[in-house]
Amino acid sequence: MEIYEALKSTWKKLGIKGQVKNYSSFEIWVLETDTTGTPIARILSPGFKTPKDIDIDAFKSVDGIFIDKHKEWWKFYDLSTVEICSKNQLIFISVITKTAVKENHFGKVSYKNEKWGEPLKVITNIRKNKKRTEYLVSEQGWLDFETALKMVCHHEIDNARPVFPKNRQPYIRSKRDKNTLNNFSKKEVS
Amino acid sequence: MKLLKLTGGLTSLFFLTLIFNIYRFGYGFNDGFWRTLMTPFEGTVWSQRFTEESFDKIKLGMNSEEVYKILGDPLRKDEACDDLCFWIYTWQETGTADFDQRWIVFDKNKRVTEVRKSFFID
Repeated sequence: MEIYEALKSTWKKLGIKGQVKNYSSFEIWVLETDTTGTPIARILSPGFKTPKDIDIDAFKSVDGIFIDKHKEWWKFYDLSTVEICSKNQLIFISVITKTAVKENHFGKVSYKNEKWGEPLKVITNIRKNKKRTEYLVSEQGWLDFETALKMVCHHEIDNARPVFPKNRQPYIRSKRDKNTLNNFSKKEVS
Repeated sequence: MKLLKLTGGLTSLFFLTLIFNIYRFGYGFNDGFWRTLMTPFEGTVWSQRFTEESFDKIKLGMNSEEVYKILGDPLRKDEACDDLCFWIYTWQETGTADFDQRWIVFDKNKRVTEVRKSFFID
């Protein structure tokens, strides 16, 4: 039984937390209970993500726009990352699973009307000089392939994914992804 | 054959625990199922005087004094009750733990309007 309790405690300490990344053009309310132990809603601006060390439990739009036919909180679970995108005044969500809940599902929510979060780090441009490929990363400038790939592998870049094919060199996926706005290849410059 | 026996054993253990949890907490099948499945991630902090028997005595329409007499101090309560307010008798051990939710919701007249008894998945 002691071993079981020890394993349970270790798992809890790992505490992989829920995160929201806002790629949309809308402000989003995100709800957390980590800071004070009570439910607090904070505004996540476009181009921002929630800090990794705070567990986010739910989200909804600031302007009362329906997200998947639901206006109140969308609850999601630990280990999940929610990616929010928008097109023509519509909001799209990418998440493993979510549940529609009522306003007071988490208790009495205190709304903090101030912008919060960290800017998303994205590849915004790409250039090829002779045999070298370089990536323009926000807040970093132009980076060579190896550095960019390392950052992508460490989840430090939000709009890119590493690919390790069996018979080819590894590369950073640049083809547009409909859910994660992985679209920097559109700006490719030779 | 060994694998088959192991699978059968684990399935039986799961269902026995499920029945035990339904009986122990007074849950329906849904909450009992999740309570059993998510046991490794469960971490509930209970208020000092809390018992399931006492909690089951709380009825809709009771006032806050009656609730206090039965259950004692909650872990946390909303002071202002302009619309709804919550008395929280259980909470999660860590920021990501799932827990047995035992909350009382009062209306603005400090009468019980909802009794929340479920397994809360964070």
